[in-house]
Amino acid sequence: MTARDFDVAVVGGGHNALVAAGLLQRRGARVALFEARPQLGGFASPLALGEGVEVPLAVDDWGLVRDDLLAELELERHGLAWAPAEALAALRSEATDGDADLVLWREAGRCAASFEQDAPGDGKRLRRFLAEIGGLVGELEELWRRPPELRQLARFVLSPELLRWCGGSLEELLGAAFDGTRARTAFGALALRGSAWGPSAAGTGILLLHQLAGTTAEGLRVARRPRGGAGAFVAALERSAADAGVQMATGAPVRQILVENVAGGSRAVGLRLANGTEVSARCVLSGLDRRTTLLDLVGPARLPVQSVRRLRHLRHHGVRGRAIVPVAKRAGPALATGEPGVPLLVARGLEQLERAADDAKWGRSSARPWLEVSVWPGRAGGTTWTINAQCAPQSGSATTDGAWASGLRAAIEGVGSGAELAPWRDLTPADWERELGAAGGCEHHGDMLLDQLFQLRGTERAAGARTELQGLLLCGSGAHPGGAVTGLPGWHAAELAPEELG
Amino acid sequence: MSTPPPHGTQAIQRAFALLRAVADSARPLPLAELSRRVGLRPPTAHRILGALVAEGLLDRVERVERDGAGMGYCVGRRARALGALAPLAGQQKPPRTTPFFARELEHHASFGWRDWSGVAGATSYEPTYHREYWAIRNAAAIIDVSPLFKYEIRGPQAEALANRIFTRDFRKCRPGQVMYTCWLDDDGKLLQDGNVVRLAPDRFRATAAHPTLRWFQDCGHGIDAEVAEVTEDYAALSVQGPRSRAVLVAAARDRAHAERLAALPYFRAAEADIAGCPVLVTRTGFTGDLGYEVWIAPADAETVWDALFHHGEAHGAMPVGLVAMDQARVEAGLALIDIDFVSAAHALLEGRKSAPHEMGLAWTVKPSPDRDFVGRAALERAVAEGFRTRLVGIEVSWMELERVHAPYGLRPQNPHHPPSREPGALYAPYGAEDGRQVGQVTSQAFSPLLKKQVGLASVDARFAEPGTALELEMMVDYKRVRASARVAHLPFYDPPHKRDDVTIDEVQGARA
Amino acid sequence: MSARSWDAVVVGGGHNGLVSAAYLARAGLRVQVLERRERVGGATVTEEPYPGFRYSVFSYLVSLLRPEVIHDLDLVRHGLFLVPLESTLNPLPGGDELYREADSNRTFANVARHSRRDAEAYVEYRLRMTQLAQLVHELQATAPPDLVDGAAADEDAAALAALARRYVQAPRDLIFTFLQALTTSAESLLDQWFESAPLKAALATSSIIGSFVSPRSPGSAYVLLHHYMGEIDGVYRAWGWQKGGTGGLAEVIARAARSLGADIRLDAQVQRVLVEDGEVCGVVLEDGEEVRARVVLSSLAPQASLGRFLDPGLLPEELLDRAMRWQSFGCSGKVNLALDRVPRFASRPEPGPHLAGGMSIAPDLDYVERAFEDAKYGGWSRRPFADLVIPSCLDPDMAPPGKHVMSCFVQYAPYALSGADWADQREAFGDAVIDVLEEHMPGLRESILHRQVLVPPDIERIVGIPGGNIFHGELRMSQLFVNRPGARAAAYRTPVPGYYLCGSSTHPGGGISGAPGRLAALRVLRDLDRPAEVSATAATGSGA
Repeated sequence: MTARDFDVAVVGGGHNALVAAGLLQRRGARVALFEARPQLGGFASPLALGEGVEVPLAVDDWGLVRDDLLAELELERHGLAWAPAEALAALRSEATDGDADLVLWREAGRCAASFEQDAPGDGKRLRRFLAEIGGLVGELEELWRRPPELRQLARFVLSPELLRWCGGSLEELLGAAFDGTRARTAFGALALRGSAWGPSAAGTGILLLHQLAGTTAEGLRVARRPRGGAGAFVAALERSAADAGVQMATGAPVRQILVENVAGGSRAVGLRLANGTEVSARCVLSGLDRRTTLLDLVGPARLPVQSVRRLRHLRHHGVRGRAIVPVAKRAGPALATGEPGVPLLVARGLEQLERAADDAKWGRSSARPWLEVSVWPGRAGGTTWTINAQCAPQSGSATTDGAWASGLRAAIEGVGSGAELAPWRDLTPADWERELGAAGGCEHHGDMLLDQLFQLRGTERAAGARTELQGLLLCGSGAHPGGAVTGLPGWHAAELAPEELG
Repeated sequence: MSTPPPHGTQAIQRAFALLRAVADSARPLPLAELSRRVGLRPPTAHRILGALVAEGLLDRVERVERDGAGMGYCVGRRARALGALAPLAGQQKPPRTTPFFARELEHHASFGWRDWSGVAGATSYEPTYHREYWAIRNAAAIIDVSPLFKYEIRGPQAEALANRIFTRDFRKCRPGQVMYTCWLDDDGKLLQDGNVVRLAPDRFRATAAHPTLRWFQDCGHGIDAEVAEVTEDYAALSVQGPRSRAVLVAAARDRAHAERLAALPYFRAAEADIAGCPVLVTRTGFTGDLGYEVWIAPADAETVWDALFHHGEAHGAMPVGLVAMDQARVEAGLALIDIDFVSAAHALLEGRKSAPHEMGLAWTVKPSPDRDFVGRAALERAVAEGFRTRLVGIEVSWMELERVHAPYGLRPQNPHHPPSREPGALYAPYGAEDGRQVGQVTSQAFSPLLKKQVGLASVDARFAEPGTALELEMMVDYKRVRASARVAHLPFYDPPHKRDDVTIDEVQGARA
Repeated sequence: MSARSWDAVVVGGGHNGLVSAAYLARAGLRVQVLERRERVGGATVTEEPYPGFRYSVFSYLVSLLRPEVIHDLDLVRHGLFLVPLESTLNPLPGGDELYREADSNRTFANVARHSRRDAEAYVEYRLRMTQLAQLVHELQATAPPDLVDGAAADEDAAALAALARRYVQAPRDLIFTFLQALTTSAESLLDQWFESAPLKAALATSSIIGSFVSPRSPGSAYVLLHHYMGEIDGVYRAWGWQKGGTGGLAEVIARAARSLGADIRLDAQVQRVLVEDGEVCGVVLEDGEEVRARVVLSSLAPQASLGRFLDPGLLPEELLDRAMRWQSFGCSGKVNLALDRVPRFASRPEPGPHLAGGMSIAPDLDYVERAFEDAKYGGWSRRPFADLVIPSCLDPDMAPPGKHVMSCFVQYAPYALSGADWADQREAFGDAVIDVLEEHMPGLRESILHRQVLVPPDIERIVGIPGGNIFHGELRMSQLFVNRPGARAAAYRTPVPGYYLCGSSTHPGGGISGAPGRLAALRVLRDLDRPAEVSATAATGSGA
């Protein structure tokens, strides 16, 4: 039992936790970070396949990282360089090769052209769409960068378009925006990645706004990858943190967050690790989701009863499975974009997305999952595909769920267009829960609809990075503004921590 | 009728004829008279009457009349029970009743009932409640308190759960001890109050006025203990009054039990045997007098009732209803949920919720650095800010009552009025705050013992000092009048024998 | 007649149109109501398709009628006669049931049979819903602001600020639940309170009535709250049956309007709204007749009000587009039955007070979800949800002695079937409904004398609501408040001066509340700078 004193102890080493740790250390706090796995990065961490081949464990899209907020971390100096793509994504709606794909080109004119070709009039509609979305995400970006407050409600009440997009269904909104079914499907799939909802569900509009952050009237936001491979982003974060002096321990799971009574409240005062070590800190940050942090690490007996009730009913519904497929020869999927950096969405239409959501609802896996395919360098000049597919089985995997296995294989072969597939491995929500400690295997640390965003991404007593306890902040996707690789929750926590440090 | 009635129906027709005859008569009728009226041979009538008595549809009772004494027949207990349901029904189904219902009916002359958590509770047994009040203060009152909700907290961490739910520190509660406590919501607002008895190191039993299983259970997440509702498992009689101890001692099966009961200290519990029925006796009550509550298996309810009344007779024990108890509890300064305060779980407005400190219950809140009961943090913050209102006693002297009645040519009417749960406005005297309202009396009663109007009130903290002069609004001859009132110490009545400790010899000596 | 000139013309004699007309007449305006059909009432009509049996054809319960409307228009004097519903029965498979009564102690016991915890939670739930209903009431009683580039026009700013203050001052956890109720699904909301399937399903039924959603759809919690407005304090007596059927209610409001001086003209179909140099000056009827007026109010759905009636050039493109894409595909059907004896439930074989209450077939949320999934992909629910009333048990005049009429409000029957036509599906759907009812009311089938099955296309054809949506458009956040029916038309005004909207497709939306009609009329009067009431005599109807 060795007790060590820090200003800030961080639970978990996901990208948001690394951001928070790095920022706070640079701002003068003494920070220690504890990651349960041998590898930092959480959902954003790389998966080594041997022989120097590396693919992302779960995430293929870094386009939402808010670089300007991370400037302090000097990630370029620590080796981060982005490889921006010319397109955001491409959609393949039937098993053909690239030329039939609809490409969401980044540049408005080019994208409009491909839309026009797909459905007459959609070119013009795309420009109107970009103008509208650009305005909305601009407005939302302000809210995403501010701690949630009740007063912000007024903004919604007085902005018909914001209400429409946050309260409407993708089906209704995209139906109004485009004539082309492929355009609708492409944006629908983009929005519903990792979501248990179908396009007909009211409120799914905001999922698209989240995905399109950074979009302007001039064009869609950029899709990009770190140069130097899947691990480069996390590696840069790690170097930046280490360079600043953050003490990072891997393979060090946290068992408990230590709490003390203080006048008028309770206060987190440190951690107990699985190996019994106690670490005392003036402020604890948790990169885990809200439920796991508070119910498992703090414990319900230290929380308001009302909060326990709420936390037990937060929706964490992981739906994405991931197949990692080595492809022997450099073949398919033939990409319309010509560049591997652009994820290829494979979906036949909004109905397929809807059916997948139905499967999620009844807790089954989809016999005909829809896909998001990314291509990475592979062994011996071959390639490796990472394929996100939904809806994946809630528990079990391709080895236990035959229907899922065959469905997934069929889908992959549909894309492969003749490429010979070496034996592949797959990951499901059960793995995310076990491997990454995400409740329900939900990559967003909680459903991302309006009833779990802003004020409501939390409990009656605490939203944003705050928790019921003094000295305990959330720095992961479970906090405002939510999931995906953005760095925002980590940045919010770092902004708030000084208050707690007093 | 050409065909003879089917076998048996003749006897039934005769039985009903006899029932009708008895029912139609104002006084008990002797066998001879009855058989004459229904035209039956006395032996036949006697046989059928016997059956009806056995069924409880008729009773055989002493009758003293001009035509001489003897036995006679009157309408029986069970027949009355059937009829008794009518007045309180007025609905498709009869209301739920307690295991003592049949016995209560035997004494129940007023047929006044009050809905107590959906169960019928007697308001008073006699047409007026006055004798019942004096039974509480001078003899022994037996009150059916079965409708209280009851919960058990069991398991290895039962103490930890009790300490999370309740404001009192139950690590200090030894087995066999009872603690009065309240429990709060997350915001430190009063949910309910009640008694909690520690039955064993890993077993507590709590009473509550409102159902609270869900709350108790939800407090228990992450604690290795279970909460079970045992409301239906126990009937309860509250035996209150200076002679209550003597009644229980007399009713105890043997000397060992009698001694244990005689020596039972204030807010302690003991297992005892009354008429062969195992019961738990706690020295608790809601009257501010010497008193006990007896917790009984429903199957034994009537046996224990009979035993208590049998042995109680010599001590003036009588069944007492809710009105007299209400009068007594106001004298005792005991705040009542839904009357003097609203549970935070049922308050429509935030402002109607109250902290324990605003209900005179600050003493039940014992924060300590090593425990964290629900509501602690919020309550500490509230204490730091201070409270705007206080629960106080309010009294109006007899002379003042005479003064406000005199202009209408009346003597004080208060002694004739039952305890009131109608809020009454309290004003600052003219001069101070220009006589604006500074609070309200939430329950008031005339104290036959203290000969003054007493009440419980929530008042602006600045007017909470005992002795402060206020004005209480009253109705005299349909006119609003303001009577000078004083803030008083609670309780109004606090007899030493409520807490005293004695031996069995003193008890039995006292009987002579 | 047509030579006469009017201050205001109200298009459509549904209850909202009539309420608007009555309020305008009450303020001394000369008002002409134009109703396409041979009778007033829109969706609130009573007919006698089978001798001696009267059906309240479409809408069937009066719960949300605003007290201020009843008061201002003196509706009781004009024949408002509400018979309260005392209870709600949810029959369950295997002869079980969940029965909620006006007596809260009794209801506690009934719920406790399914879950003791839920019985306790239900008490607190009803209290919380009462608190929410108060907040929603304030929102619904406030006219949406006319937005001038993103800010509320001065005239509305004050009311809006007051509303905002109210919300900012409300207890934190109350506002939290309020925001949840506006955004979440009925299931998510109810899961936080209850554990027993029957109670959750029973409460969730209010979240789907008239809406193309399931209790699992985000936003359905608001629909639940919208209906709860008629059930404040959980007092079931707040739900009422208008003697003579809801058609009776339309007649009542019509009488009130007439007595206040309004003129109601039937069989008068409006073809378009007359606009001269950018300003409204009346309407043109199908036969070409012009009816001139200073202002025109339309109680019709936006597809007609903003689409058919106006020359497209007059509206901004996005508003027109919005009107055309208005989410108003109905999914509710109505099965009206004439019965030759009183129906008997498996769980309650004997006739009793439960028959004078509401009854609904929704054993659990999965049942409703499956019914919804059928409809989501363009089919009708093979095992539909049904909300029943037996009007003849509340109002003997609805059927001959000993006989009964049963009104079954059923979902889901989507407006458009994929690959099929209602013409040849209607009766099959009717059979599916009867099959479900038969399970809970053995012997019902044999007792049916006559059956009327109505589906959204019928409602569209007969009442004229596009898509046959009884609420004139989904009650979802994208179609509420400043979006009802669309930006620049939500404040009852339209971009065309003198042309107003006053139907259920305006704030606060559907249900027989009269609220949109009232708020629209008040807006018009403010614009005309007229007091809301000319004189006591006019108010009490010297015009009659």
